[in-house]
Amino acid sequence: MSRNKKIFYTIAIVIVMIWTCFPIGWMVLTSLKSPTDVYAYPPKIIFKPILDNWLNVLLGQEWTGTAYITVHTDIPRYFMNSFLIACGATLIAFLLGLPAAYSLARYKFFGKENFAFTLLSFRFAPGLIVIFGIYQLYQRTGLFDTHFGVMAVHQLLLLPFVVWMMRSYIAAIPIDIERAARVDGYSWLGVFTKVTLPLLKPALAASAVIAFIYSWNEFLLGYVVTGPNARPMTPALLGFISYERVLWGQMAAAAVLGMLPSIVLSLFVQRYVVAGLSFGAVKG
Amino acid sequence: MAYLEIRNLTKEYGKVKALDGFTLEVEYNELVVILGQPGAGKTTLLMTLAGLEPVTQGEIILDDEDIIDKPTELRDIAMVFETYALYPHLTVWENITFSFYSYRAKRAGLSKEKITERVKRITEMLEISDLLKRYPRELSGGQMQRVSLARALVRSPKLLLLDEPIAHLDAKLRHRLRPELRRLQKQTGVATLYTTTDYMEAFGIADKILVLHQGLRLQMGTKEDIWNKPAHRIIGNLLGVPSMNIIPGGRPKIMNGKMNIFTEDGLQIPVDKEQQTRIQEKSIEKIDIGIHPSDINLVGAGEYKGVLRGEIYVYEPLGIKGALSVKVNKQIIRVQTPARYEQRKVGEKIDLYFKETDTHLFDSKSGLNILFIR
Repeated sequence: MSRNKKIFYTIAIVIVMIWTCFPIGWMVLTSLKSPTDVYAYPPKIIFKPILDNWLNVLLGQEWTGTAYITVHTDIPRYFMNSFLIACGATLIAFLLGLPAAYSLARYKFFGKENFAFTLLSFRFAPGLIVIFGIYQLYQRTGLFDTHFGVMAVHQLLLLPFVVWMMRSYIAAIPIDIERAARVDGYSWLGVFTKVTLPLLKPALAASAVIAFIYSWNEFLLGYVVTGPNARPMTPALLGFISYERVLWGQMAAAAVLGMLPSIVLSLFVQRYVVAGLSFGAVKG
Repeated sequence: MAYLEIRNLTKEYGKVKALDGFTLEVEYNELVVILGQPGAGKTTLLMTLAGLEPVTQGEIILDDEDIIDKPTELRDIAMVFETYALYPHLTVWENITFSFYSYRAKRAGLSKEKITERVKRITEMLEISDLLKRYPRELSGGQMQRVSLARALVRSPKLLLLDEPIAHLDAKLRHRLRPELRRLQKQTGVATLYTTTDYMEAFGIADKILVLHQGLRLQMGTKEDIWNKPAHRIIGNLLGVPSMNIIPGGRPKIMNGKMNIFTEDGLQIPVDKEQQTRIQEKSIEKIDIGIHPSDINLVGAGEYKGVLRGEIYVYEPLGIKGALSVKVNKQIIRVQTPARYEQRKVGEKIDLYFKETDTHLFDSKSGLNILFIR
């Protein structure tokens, strides 16, 4: 590569990094600012950092000017909601999706590709077209504001992803290996547990992490089908916006907290995340 | 009753018949090679025997037991796949002993000492004792093939199926492994079915050869039977390098009490008595003539009374032998020559000599050898 091209690509990468990392960086800074510093103009990059926003969000501690008092905070509960929902939704997606993926990868049956495409089409459809119907359904069936209700509605995102990802991974395992295990005396279930699943381990782990992140980051569906009880973290951030004011510092602290699981998990499975993100847009 | 009997086996994939009324008998300790071109149905046959593919119709009797409805894992059949199909996440030792840890095998309760003893014996026989801790990705093609074989043999199965096991190895290794495979089969005494597209492999190791074409059994016999009396024109194409010369569309005529076959482009091929009787009995009108390149001589003497006159087209050295192509009227006839053949010029006139008894006559319409027409 010529020297000029190298310089050009380096500049381009720096610009892209600033473009993508600046909002995150600014959010971290905002979480450490006092209300005065938040509203300061011109915006302050150098300021005296405080932990008040974090103490408020995590421990419900508010500085009155002379002392800290305890106030109510729901953020740890919303964090646990998100964790519970993401774990549960991922588990359900794999319990349902893995057998479906195996069938699509290994068997021929009538309407196979139509079924697969229909499942995929759930990813194309915007959440807006289903939220009204789902809201009414959930109100009538008692699923509104329940953790299971959110796990179930997240299957619209996760199940197509899991089925399509695992289908291609399963298809990549040579079928002769499974046949050899059958000849070696293993039943279908034995082949699946002793041969297929071990070979799928890396793919399972990566897909599970990506599915978890999708569920964690999801906003619209989680907002529509929950109330104060089962609300996940991402829609809960709206609670920092009221008619009188916006608690920017606390919202920033809560948002940074909400980002952490996705960032940490993504670091573990970086190269698989790229493949997963190109599969469909990340919502939330 | 034979040890393995396959009766009227038919396997259909939609409208396509991969096996059509197939029959076969294999005795205990026999090595039968299924020879056929790609797509003949060889792998389908092994898959149906192993229970990996359902059968449309037919019976499979193994050791006096009908196994057609038995699931794969209960048939006591071992298989070596063309792709070896080793378990990539297991070591060589774990691959070989994998069958001993299935639910059924655990119930049978073979002790760890017995398993170790069996594995030791088989791996020493196959010379892979020093590879036991490696993973398949660390093995060469020949090593993978032997591990695959060890995995099959260690179970002492009732039937061993080998699906082109050395197809993907280089020529030298294939040549070396062929006699080893035969020796192993005789040492273990297990009834074996072996599939291949290579006639030399078949001739090298088989007790009997079965030629399969488009799901149909064309012929079964020893290598001498197949070579000296191929039952179908297609078999001629499978045998020999170069393969059998087939001169198409000849019409038999009797002149002075002797029958000759006259081809459209003016060749005259003499016919022996047995074939003449047959042609007359069955009123065969159009005949394709087959001659092995190795049965054609460049010197006329003794029984070599048949003559084809032509001109040299091209000479190909093939290592330990050569192939001389001669243009006889419009036909190209190929002749096998010794390695040190003194090459003559292209276009030079040459006579080809053959024995009447070395010609194989096939009915043009059906392709059947006239001696096999009922």
